[in-house]
Amino acid sequence: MTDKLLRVEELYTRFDTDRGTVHAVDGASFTVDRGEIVGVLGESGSGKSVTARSICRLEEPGKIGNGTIMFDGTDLTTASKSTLRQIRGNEISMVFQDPTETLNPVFPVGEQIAEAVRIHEANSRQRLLDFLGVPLFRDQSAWADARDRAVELMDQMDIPNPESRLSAFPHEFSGGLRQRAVLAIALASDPKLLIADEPTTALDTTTQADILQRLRSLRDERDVGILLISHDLGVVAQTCDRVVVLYGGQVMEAGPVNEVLTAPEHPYTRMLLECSVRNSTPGERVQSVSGTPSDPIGSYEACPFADRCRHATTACRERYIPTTELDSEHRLACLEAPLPADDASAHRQDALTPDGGKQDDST
Amino acid sequence: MNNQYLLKRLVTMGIVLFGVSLLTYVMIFVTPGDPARTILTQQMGGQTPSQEAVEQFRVSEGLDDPFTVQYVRWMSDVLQGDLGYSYYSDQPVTDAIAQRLPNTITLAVASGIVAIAISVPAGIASAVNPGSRIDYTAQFGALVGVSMPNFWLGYLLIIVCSLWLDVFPVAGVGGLEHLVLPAVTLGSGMAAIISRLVRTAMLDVLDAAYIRTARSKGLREQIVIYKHALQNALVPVVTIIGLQLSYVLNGAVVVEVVFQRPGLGTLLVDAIFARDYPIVQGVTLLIGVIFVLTNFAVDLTYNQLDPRIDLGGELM
Amino acid sequence: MIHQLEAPSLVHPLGTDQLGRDVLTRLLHGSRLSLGIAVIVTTVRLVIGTAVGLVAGYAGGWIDEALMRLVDTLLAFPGIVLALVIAGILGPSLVNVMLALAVVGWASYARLVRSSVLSLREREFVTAARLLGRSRTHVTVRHLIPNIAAPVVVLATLDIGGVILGISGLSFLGLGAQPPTPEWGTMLASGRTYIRQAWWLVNAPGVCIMITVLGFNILGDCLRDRLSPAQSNQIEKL
Repeated sequence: MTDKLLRVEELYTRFDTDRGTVHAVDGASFTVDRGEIVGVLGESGSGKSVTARSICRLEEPGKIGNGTIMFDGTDLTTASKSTLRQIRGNEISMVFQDPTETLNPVFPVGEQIAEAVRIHEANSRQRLLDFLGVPLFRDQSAWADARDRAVELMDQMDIPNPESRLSAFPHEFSGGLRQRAVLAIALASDPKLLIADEPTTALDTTTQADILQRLRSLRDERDVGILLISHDLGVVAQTCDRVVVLYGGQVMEAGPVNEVLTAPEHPYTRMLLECSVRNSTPGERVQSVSGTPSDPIGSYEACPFADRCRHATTACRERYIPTTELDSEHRLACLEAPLPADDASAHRQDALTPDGGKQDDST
Repeated sequence: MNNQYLLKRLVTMGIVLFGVSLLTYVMIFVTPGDPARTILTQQMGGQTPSQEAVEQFRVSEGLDDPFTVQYVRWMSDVLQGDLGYSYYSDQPVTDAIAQRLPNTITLAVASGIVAIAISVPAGIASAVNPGSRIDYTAQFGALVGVSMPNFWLGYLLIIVCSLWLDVFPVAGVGGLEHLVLPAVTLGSGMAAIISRLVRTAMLDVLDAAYIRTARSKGLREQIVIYKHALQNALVPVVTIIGLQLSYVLNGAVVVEVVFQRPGLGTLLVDAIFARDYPIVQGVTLLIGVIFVLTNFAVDLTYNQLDPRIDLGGELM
Repeated sequence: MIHQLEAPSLVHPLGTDQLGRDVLTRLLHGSRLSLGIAVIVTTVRLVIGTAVGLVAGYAGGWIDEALMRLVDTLLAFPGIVLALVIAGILGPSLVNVMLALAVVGWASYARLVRSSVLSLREREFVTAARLLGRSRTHVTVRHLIPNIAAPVVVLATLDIGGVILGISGLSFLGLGAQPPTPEWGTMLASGRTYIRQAWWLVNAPGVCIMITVLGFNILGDCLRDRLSPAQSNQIEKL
């Protein structure tokens, strides 16, 4: 199994704050292979974005405490800054949530794409004055080539009139166009791995579908491995091949999407599914997850979900939860598994009674 | 650029300029003492003029007219570039100002260069390593800088650099060596204010998502800071640098006195003690107008630096 | 005369001046004067500025417009230059310098208070009080003033340092306190004649001014950090 593109093992990322150490990622392990889309699913605060950033070592001001991140034979946790930079420029690209914020407002979109192209191609040394565009120091022909390539990339991303949009500023783009521009930047380096952190959350439904379609064709046509971070079950279900369910910085359940999302074994995954509108029958009230994610301060010596779990026993709160493998692909961290098959509906019944937890009609 | 906004801004500026001229004129108008007598005494070489001569002079010069008439007359003169004559030397005020202005501009520009050269690197170094020893040193330095009276800093530099080390001349104008100490005196105080602002602005910007994008592209940290972060941080910084003109003009008065440089500041101070009101009036008006125009220019520069601002005043 | 221009020693820790007076004693004596004046000037600025800001923000319309243009005009002059001219016209004296500094300095308070009032006016507790039929005075005293007090006090603390620099600066130029008043700026000005023989005469009052201003600035920074970031931004911009 050493041939996986990305193998994250026992990753710990912590933030030292005034109120104590926050363990945002708490021993997560998962893999991403070439030509597959792996979803990381979790509520806000579950540590999924920090996981994404930690892989590229953009976790500042957090610190990676332990674990290994093997990418294509390189351990990123111990790699030097220049190695990291080269990997970021050439092999791993990232797409972030809000395209309004991820493009630099003071530079034209074309310049930002061309920059990514140049970083990839001029691999030797990035000269400050060249990148600043100081006339005598700028390598005009290289930038002209990079801009041609940028037009090509924009065209591939179906940005209309790429030549004329080269000099447009991000604020002159619509949300969907911006995210396509961000994708163009990410693809400029022809990456092996694309990490997409909630790439569609800020977009409307049609644009969302378009971007997800692009991700799928990247997987199929370019054999890119994609790590898709999302809180949206629907997005994960229709896009991913495998899914990792994260809670409190720990992996609750992981496996092929069609297994995990159709026959979830972990109480948390079940709970998420029950809350999804897609799963409720018409006329039925949409469920909300009872309680809120626990404040992830302090490393867990127990199941992080225990306080919200209706199956929790004292054992769940007292000791480290080992990961059990249901089969070679599907694994989960729960002492009570396997749960009774009819649990899902039982839980739903339970939630409808007054004691079953808070209900929120608006969700 | 939004024409309507520009128009609105121009109208407001016009009102403020009118206020500036009115304030300048009123201040001198209500001054105790009889300008007719002062001027005649001067013209007659120090002899006390007769009462009739004073009366006659008043009528001929329109000094008995109502305030509004006199103000309008003064304003129309000013608009034609006539600021009157010095009470004591018969020199046109515009000439006196023109003689001194270059020295003050030189000082302002030199101290601006000193200030930027110190503050921008210091602010960036602070922001890039927040909480580090560099950061604390820079921040404390800035605090000392704003707390230091520049007239004292001037003498301190004279004592150390001129009297003890004998590197720079004590005072006066001349070559570059005369400019160094005044520029450092004036520039360091400004640097203190600007570096705090650069730090805040850079800290804000370095947190932004587009900086993460820039890093995730694999850009060198240096380029991330100097290209992607600095250009965004410059927007508020340029505003403050523009507004530092107030500090420069305030400081120039004192620094010019300390280093005995003939400039607008010394001209103003000398005129105040000599009660040479046309000069006082002219210099005050000029300083007010320069200041208002600078603020306006700073507003326009905004647009150049941040394409999101279309001068509708709103960020999208 | 004896003990003229003596270098710092155990008897005279900061030396003596041209008249043989102990510099440390004069500085300590002068501190009462400088601090007292600075507090008075700042208080006057605060009171005028707050009053104008309240009226402008609350009255709105042409009153607001006129007051704000006056504020703009005052802010269109570098403070010290304007104070210098006003004090110069009134004639050199400490009282005139205080007057001049008070007159030119209230505008930034007015601006801060007005913008606070404008944002508070839309807040629910103010609307509620007005719907209850409370008078303007009642709303102002009970609801507005307590809410603008914190930022105004912070601004005042940061301003005191500037006022001290202003007073000593104008005194240095010869417009404020006249010798033999032991005002720090005046002392520094009289010391410059002896700069070659007695370096301490210029530096002792200089250090004194700096440490005092530094103290107020640190205090002001601390107070500002205790406030919400939104308010601290507002003050930073002034």
